[in-house]
Amino acid sequence: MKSRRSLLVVAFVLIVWVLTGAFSTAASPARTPEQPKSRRKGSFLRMRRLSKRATILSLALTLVLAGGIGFALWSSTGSGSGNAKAITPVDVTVSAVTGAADLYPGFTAGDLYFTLTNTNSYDITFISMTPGTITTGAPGCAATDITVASASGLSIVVGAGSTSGTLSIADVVSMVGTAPDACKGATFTVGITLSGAQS
Amino acid sequence: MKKATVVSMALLLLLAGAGAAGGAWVQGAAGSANASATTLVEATILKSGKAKSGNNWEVTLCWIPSVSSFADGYEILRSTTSGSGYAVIATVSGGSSSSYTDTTVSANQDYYYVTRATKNLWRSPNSNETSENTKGGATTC
Repeated sequence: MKSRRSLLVVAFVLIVWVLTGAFSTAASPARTPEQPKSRRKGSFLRMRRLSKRATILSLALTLVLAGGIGFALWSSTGSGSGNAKAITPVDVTVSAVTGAADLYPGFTAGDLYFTLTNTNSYDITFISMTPGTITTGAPGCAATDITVASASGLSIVVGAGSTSGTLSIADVVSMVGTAPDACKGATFTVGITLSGAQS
Repeated sequence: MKKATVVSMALLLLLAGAGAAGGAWVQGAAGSANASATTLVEATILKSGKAKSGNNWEVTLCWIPSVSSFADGYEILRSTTSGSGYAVIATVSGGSSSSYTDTTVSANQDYYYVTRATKNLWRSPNSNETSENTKGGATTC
C-alpha cells in the first residue's frame, strides 16, 4: 500500500511539473512576424522543454503501468498478499456425481460426471482436464480395469458464485477387455484437475 | 527527443494492451469425477420344444436376446432339479442368437434350463427357468 501511494505521489508531481511548463508556455503571447528574434527563440526553448517533460512523463507512466501489470500478474497466482487489492482467485471445487453407466469390457468411450462449485465473482471456462488417481469400491474390481485419458479443447463454463448442474467430459474412459464380472455396475472415482480462465 | 517520445508512447500503449489481454486469470479446479460400469441384462426364455429321432431325444430352447447390445453370446445351463444345480452345457456365440438345441438329453427325464448372456468375462444373471421332459410326443418352441 505504501509503495502504491509513493507511486501516486510521484505521478502527481510529474503531472504538475509538465502542466507548469504548459502554463508557462500558454501565458506567452503568440509569436508574430513582428516579434524580435530573441523572443521567438525563448518560445522555441519553452516548447522544447515541454516536449522533454512530456517524454519523461510518458516514460514514467510506462514504468508505473508495467509495475502495475507485473503486480497484478503476481497476485493472480493466488499465493495471496496483504497488499493486494485485486481479488484472489479461489480454486473451483469439482465434486463427483454418478451419471450414465456406460462402461463394459472393451468399451473406450466412457464419460466422466461431476459438478463444479465456483465461489469466485466471475464466470470461468475450463478448457482441459488431466486425470489423477482412480479408485473403486467394488470388491474384486480393480482401479486398473479402467484408464482415463487427458482431454483438451473443452468448453465447460461455470457461473460466478454458483454450483453447476451435472457436467460431463465425454469419451475419455476406457474399460479393459479383461475386466472381471465384479466390475458390472461398479462406480470408479477419478481424481481430475481442470485448467481454464476467467471468462 | 521526438523519437523517444513516440517510442515511449508506443510502449505505454503496448503495456496497456498487454494488461487488458492478461487480465483473464488462469484458473484451476481440482476434485473428482465418476465413471460407471453398466450391467449385462439377462435374456428371457420364451419356451422350449422337444423332438425324438429313434431312441434319441433333443430339447430346443428359444429366448429373447439380452437388451444389452454389447452382449457377445449366451451360456446354456441345465439341471434336473428346478431352481438349483445348474451347470453350463454349452455356449452360443452372437449377442442376437435366440435358440439352442440340446442333443445330450436322456429319455424319460425332466430338465430345467436357464441361459446367461456373456461379454468377455462378464455374465448376466440367469434368465427365467423353463422345463422340459423327454417323454410323450414332440413339441415345438
